[in-house]
Amino acid sequence: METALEMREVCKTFYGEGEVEIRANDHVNFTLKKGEIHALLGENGAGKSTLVMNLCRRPDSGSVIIEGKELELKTPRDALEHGIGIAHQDLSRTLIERHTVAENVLSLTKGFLLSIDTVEEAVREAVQKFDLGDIDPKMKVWKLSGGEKQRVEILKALITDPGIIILDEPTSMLTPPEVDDLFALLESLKAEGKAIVIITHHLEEAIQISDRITVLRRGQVVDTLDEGRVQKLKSNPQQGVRELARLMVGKETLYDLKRQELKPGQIVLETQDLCVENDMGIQVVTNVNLGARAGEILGIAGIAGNGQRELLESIVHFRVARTGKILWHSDAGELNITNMSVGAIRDLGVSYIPENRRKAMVLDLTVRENLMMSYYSDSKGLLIDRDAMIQLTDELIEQFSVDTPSPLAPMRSMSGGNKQKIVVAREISRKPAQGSRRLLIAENPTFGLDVATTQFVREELLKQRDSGAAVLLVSSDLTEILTLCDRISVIYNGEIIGTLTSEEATRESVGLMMGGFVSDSIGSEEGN
Amino acid sequence: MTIEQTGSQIVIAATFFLIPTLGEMVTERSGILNLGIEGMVISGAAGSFAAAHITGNLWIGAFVGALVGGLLALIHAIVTVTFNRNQVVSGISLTILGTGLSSILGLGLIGVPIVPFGPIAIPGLSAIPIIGPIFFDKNMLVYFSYVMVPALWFILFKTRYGIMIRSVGENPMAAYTQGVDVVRIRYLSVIFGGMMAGLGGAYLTLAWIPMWVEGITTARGWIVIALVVVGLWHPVGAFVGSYIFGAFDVLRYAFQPLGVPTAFLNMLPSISTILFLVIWGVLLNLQKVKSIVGAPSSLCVPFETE
Repeated sequence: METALEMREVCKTFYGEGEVEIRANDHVNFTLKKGEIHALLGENGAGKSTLVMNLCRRPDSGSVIIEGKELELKTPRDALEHGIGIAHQDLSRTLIERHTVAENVLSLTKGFLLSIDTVEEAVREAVQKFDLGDIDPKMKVWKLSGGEKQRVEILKALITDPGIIILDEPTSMLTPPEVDDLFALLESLKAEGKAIVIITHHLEEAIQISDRITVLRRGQVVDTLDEGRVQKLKSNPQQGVRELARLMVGKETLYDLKRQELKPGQIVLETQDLCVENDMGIQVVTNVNLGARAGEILGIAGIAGNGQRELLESIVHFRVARTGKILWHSDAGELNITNMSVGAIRDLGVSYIPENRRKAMVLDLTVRENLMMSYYSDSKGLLIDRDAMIQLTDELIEQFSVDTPSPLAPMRSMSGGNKQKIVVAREISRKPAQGSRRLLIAENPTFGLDVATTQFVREELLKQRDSGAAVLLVSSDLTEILTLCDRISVIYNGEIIGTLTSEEATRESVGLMMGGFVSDSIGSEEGN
Repeated sequence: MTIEQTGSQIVIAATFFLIPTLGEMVTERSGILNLGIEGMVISGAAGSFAAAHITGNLWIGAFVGALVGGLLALIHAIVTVTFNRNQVVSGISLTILGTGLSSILGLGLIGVPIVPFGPIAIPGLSAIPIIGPIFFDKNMLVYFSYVMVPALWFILFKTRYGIMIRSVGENPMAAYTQGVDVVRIRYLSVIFGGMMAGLGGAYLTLAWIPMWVEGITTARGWIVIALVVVGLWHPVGAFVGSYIFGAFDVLRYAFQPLGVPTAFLNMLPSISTILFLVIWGVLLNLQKVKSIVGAPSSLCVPFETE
C-alpha cells in the first residue's frame, strides 16, 4: 500500500512552569498508509495529540512527508490545503457553542460574501453522505448532546473531503450504537482509500477498528504493531487488551512510598446525590455519593473533563451545587455545608490544592504574603500582627524546605516546584476548627513537577492521612492514584462508575474503568 | 416644538451615537474591546473639519475623519492583536492620545465657519406625514447610518465573512483550527471600528454642529461603549439603543423650563447608561440567557496559538 503520511524523527518540547522541560514528542517515527486505519494509543500526556498537531504547526525538529514530498505545515490552513482533516479532542476549544452547526463549519469555501444557506446545504448533504444521523445545520451547538457535538466535530473534519483523516478521541462522548455507526463509516472511508488515524484510550475499540496500532509512552514510540500482530489481537480481544495495556503503561516501578496500614476513621465529608452544572449550564456531575474518611486517601480517578473539576469546585463552593447535599461530620455533629461561603467552609478545616496553581496564589505578591493568605481572617483588629506573621512564615519556609532567597521574594520568581511547595505549606498548616478534622482536597497536585517535588508532595499527602486527616485526591495520573490511595472511585461522564479498594485495584482495571468500561468482576457500585 | 422638530433633533443626535456604535460592535464581535473610541471620535471630528476647511470638500473631510480614526485603531490592533497586550490600557491611552491629537488638528480652526452637509429630501418618502420630515429629510451621513444597520446585520449573520468575525470573537481557537486567519480578521474589525468612530466625529463637525471647539464631543464617545452592551452586540440593538440615547440627549432640554437644574440634566445620559448596564448585567447573567445572547465569549481574551 502507498504511504500517505510519514513523520521522521519528530521532536516537540514544551516548557512547563519553572525549568521543567516536557518532551512531548521525542524522536518519533510514524507512517500512515492509504486505505488503513491506524490507532495511536497511550496514557494521558504520552504525546498522541502532540504528534498529530505537528501537522498544523512545525515540530522543533524532524520532517513531515506527505505523498512523498517533505512539507512545512505551519498553520491549520496549510494542513487543510494538503488534504488533512482533523477532528480535535477538546470540543470546548473547537466548537462555538452559541453558533449553529452550519456556522461552525468555516473551512468549506473561500470567497467574501458567501451565503450561509450554501453551507447549510453542504452540511445537510455531508450528513447524509456520511450517515452521521440526525444533525440539523440550523441547530445551535449548545443545545446538542455530547454525542451530537462529537459528530459535528467529525463532520467538520470530513466535510472538506480530505485524503488523511485524523480523529482525536472521537468516541469519548458517543453511545455504543453511535460508536458502531462511526466505525462503519470509517470502514467505508477506508475502502475509498483514505488514510485514517484514530487516537483513543479505549483499547478494545483500537483492536476492533484498526489495521495497525502505534503505542506511545512519554513521548516515545514503544511499539508499532503491524497488520499480522493486530490480527492476532483481534482473535483474542481479552488477551489483546491486556497486552496493549502493558505496552501503554510499561513496567514502571511505583514510587517507593511507605503507606502504613491504617484503620479508616469516621466520615468527615459526605456528598449525597450531588449534581453540578458546568459554565454552560450543562449537568456534568450526576448523583455523586462520596464519603471521605479520616485517615484515608480517597482517590477520584478519571480522564480529564469527566466532571472532576466541577465536583471539587462545588465542595469548596467555588461553584453552586444544583441538587444534592454536602455534609460535614465533626465532633459537633452533622453540618450541611452545601452552599455555605468559601470562607466558612475553609474555616471548618477544608484545604484545597487546585490543579491550576495560578488559582492558588498571587504571582505579584511576596512568598510571605502568599503563605499568609488564608490567615488574614484570623487576625483581630485592623492591623497585621507583623511579628506573628514573620515567625509563622519563617517556620513554614523552614519546615517545607522552600528554596527562596528571601521570604520577600515575589512569588513570580519561584520555580514551579517551589510554588507548589508554598501552596501545599499554606493549605496544610492552617488548623481546622475546634473538634473538626481536616479535609485536604488535592487536584492533580504533582502535575508538571519534577521528580523530587512530586515525591515531596506525595509524602505530604501521606503524612496528612497518617495524622488523621481525610484526603480527597483527584488525579488523571494512574501511578499517583495507585501509589497513594486507600480507595479509588472512578468518575466517567460525571458519574462514579465504581469504587475499588487498593487491594482490588490494578493498573489495567482502573485504566479500563477510566474509559467507561465496567466489568462485573472489577466494579463494585458501592459509592462509599 | 412640534413633533417633527423634536423627532428630527432626536434623529440628528442619535446618528452621532449610531455610527461609532456600529463600528465598535463589529470590533467587539471579533473579540477586541476598543476603549479608545472617544479619542477616535474627537480626533476624527477635528481632522475632518480641518480637511474640509482646507480643501473645501465635505466628502474629503469625511474621508479624512475615517482615516484618522482608522489609523488610531491600527495602533490599537498592533498593540492588542500582534503583541497581545492589555486591551483596556491600550484603549484608554488612545483616548488620551486622540484627545491631544484633536487639539493639534484643530489648531487655528476655533470659530472658523463651514458650510455643513445639507439635508436632501428623499422623493416620495419625505412626503409621508410626520415620518417623512423626521427621517427622510436629512443629510447623507444620516442616510449612510440607516443603510449600515441592515448591511452590517446581513454581513455579520448571513455571510462567510461575518461568521468568521463572530467565530473569532466567540472561540478563536475553533476558527484558527479551521484555517481562519484570526489576526487578519481582528485587524480588519478593529480598523473598521476606528474608521466608523472617525466618521462619527466627522458627522459631528461637518453635519451636526458645523464648527470646531476643543472637547466638542463632551465625552459622549464613552457612551458608545455602553451602547454596544445595551444593543446586545447586534446592529438592530445598536440602532434602538442609539435612538433611546439620542432621545435622552434632546429631551433633557424639555425639563429645563420646569426648573430642573441643568447640571442634573447633563447627568441624565450617564445615569441612564449606568441604569441600563445594571439591568442588562443582571439579565445577561441568567444561565439560560447567557447561552443565547451576551458579550462575545472571547472578548478581551488574548489569543495565542500555543
